[in-house]
Amino acid sequence: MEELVPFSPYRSDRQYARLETYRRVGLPDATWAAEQFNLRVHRSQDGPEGAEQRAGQIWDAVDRLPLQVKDILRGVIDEVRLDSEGTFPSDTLGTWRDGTMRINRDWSLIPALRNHGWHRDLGYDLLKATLVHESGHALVEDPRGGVRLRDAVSLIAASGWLPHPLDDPVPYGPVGRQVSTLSAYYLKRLRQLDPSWNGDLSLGSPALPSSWQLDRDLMREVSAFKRRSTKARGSLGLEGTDQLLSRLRREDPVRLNRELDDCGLVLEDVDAALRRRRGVSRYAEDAISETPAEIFRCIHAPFTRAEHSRPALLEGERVLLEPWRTSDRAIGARQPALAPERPWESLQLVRRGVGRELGR
Amino acid sequence: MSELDQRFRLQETGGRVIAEAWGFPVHLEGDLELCQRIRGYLDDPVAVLGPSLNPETGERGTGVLTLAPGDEGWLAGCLRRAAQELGLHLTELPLSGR
Repeated sequence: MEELVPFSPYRSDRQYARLETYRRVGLPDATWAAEQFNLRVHRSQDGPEGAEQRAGQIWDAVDRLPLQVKDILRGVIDEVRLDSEGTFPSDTLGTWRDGTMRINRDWSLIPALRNHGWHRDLGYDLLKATLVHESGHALVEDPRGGVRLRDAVSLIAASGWLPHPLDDPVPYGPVGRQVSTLSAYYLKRLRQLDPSWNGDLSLGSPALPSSWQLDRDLMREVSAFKRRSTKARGSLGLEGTDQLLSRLRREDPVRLNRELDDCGLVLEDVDAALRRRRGVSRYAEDAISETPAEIFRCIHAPFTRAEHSRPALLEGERVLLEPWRTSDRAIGARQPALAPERPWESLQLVRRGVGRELGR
Repeated sequence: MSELDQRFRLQETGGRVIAEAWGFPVHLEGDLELCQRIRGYLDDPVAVLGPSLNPETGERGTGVLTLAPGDEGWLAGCLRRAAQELGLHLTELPLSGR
């Protein structure tokens, strides 16, 4: 039996020296990344003019990240690769997988950012949003840490994911009024689909099915790619509130009212349930496996306002931030380190030895 | 899909309704001066964050998408920005208000 999720595993008591400190004494940005974040840095050679300068902007953005996100970068990410646009699917800003974060170093080639004004105005915000979102995935799904499935389902319930009322009217009744009762209901139904969905295990635990399977088991529709790679075994059929509202708007109101009546519901109850909790962003409603990372992003880097999603943000504070904050309070506030702290060689020893300096 | 049936209301903090917007091309109703200012937000595409997936490697990531005028989510994106910058409260009319 796997142990329970460890307490805020990525909070360390080491100070961070600022990038400016390294630049002032003539040390390269890669040294700063290595010493401060235990990061290997890889920069692809090919690329258009100006790529070097944009690589510097990436480190500027990392330097300005909130402390929790810096702790995740230090604790979970092993390598940052600044790769050229051609190695990414179209429109991609950055990715995270197996301890590697890849950043597209040439955003000016992304069709949506070809408008020079946007590129200039949104560049930093988008870069920060990408780094925080991908760190959110790492926090939630990393097997060494992560959040419990039970808490991930709470985030999903708090973000307004609901079934069509004619498919399952239960969430539109008393069960749906509280996040706690709704998430307990979703978890119960999830375990009926597959008993291996253990609410006490971390979402990234190898003992749980994959995040793709979570999408498949919870969502109404998943992409063809995900559908091919998972079993057809039923689903809770959840949809994001924006999608569900659009769908209900397209239905014939007279027929919809009659069918709702057969289920013991009225349109006003359905409308109230749909407006009680909303997704934090369009991205969060694209897939259930994206929802926790997007909540983390909206808390730390609110690129878009999400005031209509207060329940999701409150649940995100409880699940994603509070364990780290509690640990932060216990260890004490950190001040920036005044100078580069330690030589690269000693960090290599730490890497090769017992691993990261976690939980000191 | 266009947002033909999606209707939005912009209110002052105190609750006074000063404009409504729906459909595509966008129809605006309410305070004339404010509607003119809102109109200025309805010319551009909207950039939003979204997922990216490499189907060959399974690598997931974050991308940026453009919602062109008339796309689903475009009107809501424009009005959200207008509401934020003009200090208004944006709501979406209920299903029963269609």
